[in-house]
Order: sequence, then C-alpha cells, then structure tokens
Amino acid sequence: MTSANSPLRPEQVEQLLGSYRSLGLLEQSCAVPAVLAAVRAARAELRIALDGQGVEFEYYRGHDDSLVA
Amino acid sequence: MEYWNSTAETMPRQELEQWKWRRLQAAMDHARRLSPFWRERLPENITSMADYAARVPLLRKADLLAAEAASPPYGTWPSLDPALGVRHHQTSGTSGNPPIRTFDTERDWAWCVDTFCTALHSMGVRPHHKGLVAFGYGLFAGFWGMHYGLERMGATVIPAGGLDSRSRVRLLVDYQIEVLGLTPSYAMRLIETAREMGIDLAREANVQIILAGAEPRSAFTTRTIEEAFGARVFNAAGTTEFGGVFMFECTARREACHIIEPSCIEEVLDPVTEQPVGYGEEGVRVTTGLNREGMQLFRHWTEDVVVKRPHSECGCGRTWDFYDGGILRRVDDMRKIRGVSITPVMIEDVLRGFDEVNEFHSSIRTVRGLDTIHVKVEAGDISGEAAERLCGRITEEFKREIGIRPQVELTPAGSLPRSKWKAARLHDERELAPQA
Repeated sequence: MTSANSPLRPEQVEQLLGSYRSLGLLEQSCAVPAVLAAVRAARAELRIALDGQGVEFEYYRGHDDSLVA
Repeated sequence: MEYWNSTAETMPRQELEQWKWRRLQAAMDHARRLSPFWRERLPENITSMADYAARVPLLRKADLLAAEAASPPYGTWPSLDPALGVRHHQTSGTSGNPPIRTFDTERDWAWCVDTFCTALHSMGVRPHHKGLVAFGYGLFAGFWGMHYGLERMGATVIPAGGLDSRSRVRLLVDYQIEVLGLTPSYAMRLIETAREMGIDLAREANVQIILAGAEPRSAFTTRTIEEAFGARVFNAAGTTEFGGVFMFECTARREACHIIEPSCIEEVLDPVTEQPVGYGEEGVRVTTGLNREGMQLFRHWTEDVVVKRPHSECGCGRTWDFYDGGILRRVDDMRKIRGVSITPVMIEDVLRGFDEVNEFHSSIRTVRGLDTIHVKVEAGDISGEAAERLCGRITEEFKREIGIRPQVELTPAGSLPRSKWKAARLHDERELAPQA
C-alpha cells in the first residue's frame, strides 16, 4: 500500500519496487563478493527509503516475500 | 518546512495510527516465529493497540539480562541469526550489571542511520555542511549513527574519535565546521579547553548546529553551550536496546523532541501504578520498536521520565507527538534528602548559573546522622574573600532553588575529573557509610 500523501508519483514507486525486486533476485543468484555486498547494501537502503515514503512491503525478511504495492 | 521523509513525518494522524498497528502486527509475527524469548512473552490473537498494552508484559532490564545469560552473548532474545549482524554494540554496564549486547543486520543499520538523518535534517543539516563527531567510536552505540547519517546525507564527516580536546577545537576553527555532535558534558569541556587556548569559539569557529545528546541537561547548560559557540543546540536520543534514534528536537519549538513514530510505539506510564498518564503528565517511557529485525523490543520499561505533548502544540507541521524537554531524568536519578527530592539536573541548574564555575562534583553524605549535599566546585583562580563570597552565594542559591543548604568546597583548577561521555556529577555515598 502507498500513502495517499506521498510526493512520489505512482510510476516512481513502481520503478523503485521493481529495482528492489531486481536487487533481491541478484542477491539470491550473484556469487561475486564485491557485487553481492553492493547489492545487499543498496537493497537495505532502498527498503528504508521506501518505508519512509509510506510504501508498505516486506516489513521483515521472509515474512512477506511478495511485494505489496 | 522541509522534511527528510515528508510522507511519514506529515502523515494524517489516523492514517499514522493505522499504519503503526499494521507494523506492530508484523513485528509481533516476526518475533513469535523466530525468537524463543518473545515467543514466551507475546500472547497470540492481540486485537488492538489497547489489547497489546493490556496483555503484553513490561520488559525490564533484568529480563533482558536473564535472556542474555541463558546463552551469551545475545541469549534467547534475537529474532535472527546473529551471523547476519554487521555491527555489535553494547551498553557500558556502569551500574554493576553485565552490559546489554546487541547486533544490527544490514537492514537494521540502514534504519538506524535513517533515524539520524531524520533528526539531522530537521535540525537544518544539509549536504554542503561539514560535521565533526566528538565521540569515542567504541562499543557504545552513541554517535556512530550520526557519523553514518552525515555520510548518507552527503555531508562531510570528520571523525574526531582519537583526538584530544585541543585538537578537536583546532579542527573546528581550521576547517570552519558547521555541525558538531557530542554530549552536553563534553561540550562544556570543549568550551573550557578553547578558553585555555585563547580561542573564542563564537567568533573564530563556525559551528551552527550542535547535536548535544545522550544525557539530560539543564537549561543553563544549553544556554552556556549556545552562547560559547554562537550556535543552536539540539536534543536527540536513542538507546542501544532500541537500536536507533527515537526522538529529536525540531527548529519550530524549543525542546519539542518529536517521537519518530513509524519506528516505535511510545507509551508513558505512571511509575507506581504502571497505568497510562495523559498528555502533559510526567511518566516513564515504555517503548516498542517497529523496525529492527534482529533484536526486537516490546514494551521496554526504559526508566526515562518524560512528558508527552500532542503534535499540534508544535508548529513544524509534523504529525508526530513530542516529548517536552526530551528525557527529563531517569527514575533512579531522583534522591531524597531530608524529604526533598533532588536530581542531578536540579544541581546543575543552580551551579551553571554562576559564570565563575567551570566544573563541579556533588555527593550526598551522612554527616553526624544528617543527610547533606557536598559540592566541590572549580572556579578558576578565585581565592580568599572572593572564594568565601562565591561559596556563600552558591549556598544561598541552593537554599532558594532546591530548599537544601549544601556544604560548598572550592577545589583547584583542573582537579575535578572531566567527562568525554556521560558525566556522573551526583554520587550518593550514603550507602557507603557504616550503618548504626
């Protein structure tokens, strides 16, 4: 769910969630340590940024793997 | 008004409450599934916030220590494998207890840093600023988050961990640093050091924003720091157990410390009955974390005494309620002397009113069966009649403000210990006296 008063446009939210999803797939499949570290860090920071904009998805890892937007 | 997270910071109150309830449900599900400690303490089928407050027991420090002791270092408390941790922090354990130990996952740390960004942005910190963090960079969580918060915002951080006070003063002047993070006690120390160096910080440095947190402080101390630096002092606080900042002071109203509400549920309870108190009434802060995944908190009895006020009483536009004056004191800070209740901040308030006083140390002693406050004061090179007059003025001010006449002793300059972290300036030595 996205907050009604978010200054993010719906298409921006979709783009960001898509990026988050792509990073998650990379995290599961990538074996290059340097890339994996960057992916994990980017994913953690993107998640908290979206949370601050009231975008509700995956509060806890493994709790809700489907992105609800 | 600009906000770090405008959606969360200005969310309509009803929407915010509903959001927090969904977050709480997710947090409890996560904890019940993965933490043996929380599985025992969190009942199933909690139906509302009120039901939550009625059925979930208060979490005391002793509960956490017992959970830790079951299988050190973290015990049965964690909700995730500690191997997912990217940081370890622990409390100082100065009360004689073992420390509370915590770890942060990458997601936890990103959230912690974001709470600092929320606070710093609110105080006016922007990417073009330089920030000096005058902090020991050790096991204590302290200002670690400020360091990384400045980085994430795009500001330039100057990590002054290993430097002495003179070097830090020199950096402030030479680099014209705009943002400073430290404890109020250590700010007083830097002011004294700058004076010894012949440096007028307000004129020669360029500090504009000071985050002075991690301990209660008096209004006099705030004013002294602001005048010496020519800067605005802001309050903010977090705890190792919570894992991030839970409140910060905004620019719109002095001492309005907004609760970062999406990250926590903050109840304020009567210290004796443990029932909720209303807006404007003193009570103990009881916190529930809504973001951390590795080590969660539900209804933690913090011992912090606070007064909550509604967001509408601040003009900043945030819909987050605030603690007026931040953490006023700790429940266990209060001492009774001859029926009079005294806290360290009350003593500090009196002594900081004397320009001559550089440092002080006070203790409560039993002298010939009578409880007495003994105050040691450093006041530069004052001696003779001037010293006697100062002691007399301090005694009279104590009597007038607190209702107790102390024993005042002037000590040589530099003889009292200075604190780089949390200062302990009131010691109760009555327990040490032989019992009759």
